[in-house]
Amino acid sequence: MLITDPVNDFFNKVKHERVLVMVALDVDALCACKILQALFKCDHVQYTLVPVINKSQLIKEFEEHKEQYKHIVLLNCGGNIDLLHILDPSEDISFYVIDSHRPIDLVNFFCEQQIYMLLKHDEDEIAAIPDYDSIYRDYDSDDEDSENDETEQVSKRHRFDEATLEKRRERKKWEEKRKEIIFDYEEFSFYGPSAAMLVYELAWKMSKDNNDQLWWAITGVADQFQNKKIGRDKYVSSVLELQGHMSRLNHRDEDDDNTKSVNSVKISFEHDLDLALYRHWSLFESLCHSLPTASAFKVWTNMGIKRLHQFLAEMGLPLTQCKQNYSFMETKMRDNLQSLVEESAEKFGLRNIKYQSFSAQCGYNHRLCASDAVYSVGALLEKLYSKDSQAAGENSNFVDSLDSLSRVTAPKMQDGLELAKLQLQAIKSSVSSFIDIGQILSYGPFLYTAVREGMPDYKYFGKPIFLNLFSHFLLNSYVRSLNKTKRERAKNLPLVICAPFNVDDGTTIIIGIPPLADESRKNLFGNAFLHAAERTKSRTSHESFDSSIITLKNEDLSKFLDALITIMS
Amino acid sequence: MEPGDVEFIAEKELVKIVPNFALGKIYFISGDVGPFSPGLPVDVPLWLAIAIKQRQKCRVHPPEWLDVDKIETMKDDEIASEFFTELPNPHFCEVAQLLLTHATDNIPNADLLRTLIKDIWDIRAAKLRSNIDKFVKLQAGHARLDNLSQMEINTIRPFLTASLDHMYQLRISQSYTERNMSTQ
Amino acid sequence: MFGEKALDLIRELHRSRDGTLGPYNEDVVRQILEEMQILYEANQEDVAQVVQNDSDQSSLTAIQVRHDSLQRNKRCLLAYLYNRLMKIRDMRWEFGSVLPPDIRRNMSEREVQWFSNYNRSLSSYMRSIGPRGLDLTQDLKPPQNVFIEVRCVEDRGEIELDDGSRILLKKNSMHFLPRSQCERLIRQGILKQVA
Repeated sequence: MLITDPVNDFFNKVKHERVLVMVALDVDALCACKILQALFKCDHVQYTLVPVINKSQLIKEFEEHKEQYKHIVLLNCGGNIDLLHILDPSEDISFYVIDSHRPIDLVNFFCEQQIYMLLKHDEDEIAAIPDYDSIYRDYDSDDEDSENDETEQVSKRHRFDEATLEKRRERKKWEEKRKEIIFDYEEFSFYGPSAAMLVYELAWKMSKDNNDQLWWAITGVADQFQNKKIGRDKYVSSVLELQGHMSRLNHRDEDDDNTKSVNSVKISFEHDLDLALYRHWSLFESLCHSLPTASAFKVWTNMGIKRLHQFLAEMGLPLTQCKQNYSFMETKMRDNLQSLVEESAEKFGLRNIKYQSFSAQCGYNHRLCASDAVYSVGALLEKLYSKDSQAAGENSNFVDSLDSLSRVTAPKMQDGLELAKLQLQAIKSSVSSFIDIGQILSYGPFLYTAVREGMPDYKYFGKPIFLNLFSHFLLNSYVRSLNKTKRERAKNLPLVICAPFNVDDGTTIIIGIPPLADESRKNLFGNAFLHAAERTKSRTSHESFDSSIITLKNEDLSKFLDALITIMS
Repeated sequence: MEPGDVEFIAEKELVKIVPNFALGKIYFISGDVGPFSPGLPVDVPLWLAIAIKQRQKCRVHPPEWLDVDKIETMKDDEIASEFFTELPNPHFCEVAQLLLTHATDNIPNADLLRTLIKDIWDIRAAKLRSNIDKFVKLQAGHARLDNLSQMEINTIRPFLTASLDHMYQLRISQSYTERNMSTQ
Repeated sequence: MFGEKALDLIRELHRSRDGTLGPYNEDVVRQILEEMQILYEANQEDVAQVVQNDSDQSSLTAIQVRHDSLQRNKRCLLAYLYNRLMKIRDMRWEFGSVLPPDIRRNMSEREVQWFSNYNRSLSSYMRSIGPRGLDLTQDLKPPQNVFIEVRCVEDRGEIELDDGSRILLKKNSMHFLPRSQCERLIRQGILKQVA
């Protein structure tokens, strides 16, 4: 059921109860979790936090906790699966789902009682959901009639012939239409507004919002944009809203006498450069490892590095300065950096080098911009452990990432930044080797590449956030590396990547991403994978909340891919 | 006593808040508080003010002595005088600290105030230390210091009591041996 | 040399100063008591002899030495026993009325008896305060807020809270619970407060 008034229908209902919060493992969900925690702490609502990485863990945690909690909040999980069917909860348990995955499962939406969806009041979203009547209708009377018809005698059958035939024809037509509607509805999977943003709006409606929560909402939205889950226009509209909140909170009492304390978080809006971690790295490294610049300059070739040097020379920045840590660059160069880059960008084919973003500052520390925070928390979530310390477990990653979000100046955030640097370096070197070797093949309706087990850093590839980032990087760089004619075609091709998931079990993880040219980021691989698996009877598991990521057994890989090619052509 | 205990006692001080909710009178063990009506200032104990502020349901009015000019004059007086000046509130330090931590946005020039209050604390601590030094060296029997706050007393209590005890024992044994020697 | 074993006991105490209670060193205590017995008997003989033989003052120093070592042994033994008891008392305040089994193993039966007596006195005192009694072992530091956020450090399974609701304590799960319920668990090290 859709909740229209989150304050009364959700928050006031759980205010005096104990709540179980199940959080999916992505940055947006973590940000939403932090905001929700702050709200609960304000009103002294007892809660328990449980991280869930995939559907089976959701079921497992639910089984373990269902005796103890009657109100369960799901963050970024459970929206696109049939909760009632999968979890089979008892009558008195209520689920409150805040999920940015779309399409929302129709059962969740139309169910009157136990499942409550918090959605943004966007006309487009609600309009996209098909009508109740076109999907559900009273079958019982029709079924009875038809059954009775079968057992009735011939004479009676003759009498009702016309009417029953008519009914049956109409029912068939309705069913076909229903199938079509559902197929259209569930064909593409995409992302709606960020969960963190929704929870922030809830806080705002209760007048309990503050800068910290706004920062978390900003990080959640930035995560969606950075991981290419939403297109640019959706991002810009979210940013506009956030800007409104920001000006409300940050310019509220700025007089001369009443200056705010230095130690509180200050958020500012800016048109920032789309360079990864450039404030925490050297400019040169950052240019090599960011998606737009790396693909534009083709830094995996020697020509590319030369062009990069040319670009820096054109801007008038000496190479030694660029290779220095950003914080040690000369101040006047740092100040002019943005304008210099903008001027030279067009000449070198860098489009969209600047984008709208926010940054936060607390005390006299360096500014942290939203994309940095996203990289850092993402890296912390997927931190790899060596075999023996595996006992530390996935939960400690969850706890560490939550810690790093707790303050803008949290030391774990710095750890995360270092890890993110390693990840970006791994991405860049892998992309270079892939394109050099020419490992990206065109399988007809899509591009395909596989990460082999022997490759360096192959362990990173088993993690969904990293794999997603890598695939976008790879697609961008590959398309740029082609000549003009091929490029046009390649822009419209989606990409499928396989990587080793669990060496012991012999499983592979597959991810599919939509083509570059598609701004709406609608992903058809969810359904495509399902159909391919059914056709070939491959041993797949569609565990992830994101339907475009699956795992399957190594042996079934080739027939699965063949089926996929057939389905998609 | 731990500093935490002193702070706990200091939290009983009354402070003015402006709530944004409505509630009737509340009857506590140590007294009554309220009634609360949105927009009207009401006096509450500090611990309650902080709890309500953390739930973002009120705005705290800093006490009138928590103001840059007044604190600056206090600091100048403190530097000028040889003895301890009178503090506006017996729990001056704790109240200031708590308000500056939890209600930063309701207090103008919070940073400046924080530095000034720290300065005052340092000056008084230095004076206290030199006085204690003198006291113990002279092995005096008693001393008098006016206008000390609970927190400052708490910091010197363990040292002072232990060292004076020790000196007393030495004095006793010294007088005992003297008496013994004189009788012999 | 006399009094060395007593020194061993003291060294043992000193070593385990910051840690938990070590095992009750039954052997060494017995050895010291035997040594004291020997010294005492020797002293008895010598004193009798000196009393008899008024002129023979040579064994006076020996008597003095033995007497002093007897005193020293006694003092060391008392210090050992007293410090152990104080540690056990602190544990009552820290862990509650049921001690973990590994600590119980380290106590002698007399110490266990002392502990249960102390328990009894403490609880009867706590019951006598106010109309319904007051648990003094809670809130040893002034509380800051009613609810605190805690993280579970180890797997403990289900725990029942005062209001009847049950919580599953899994490693690294985070909870937001009333302070009174968590304090005991925090002191036992199962939960850790998240700042």
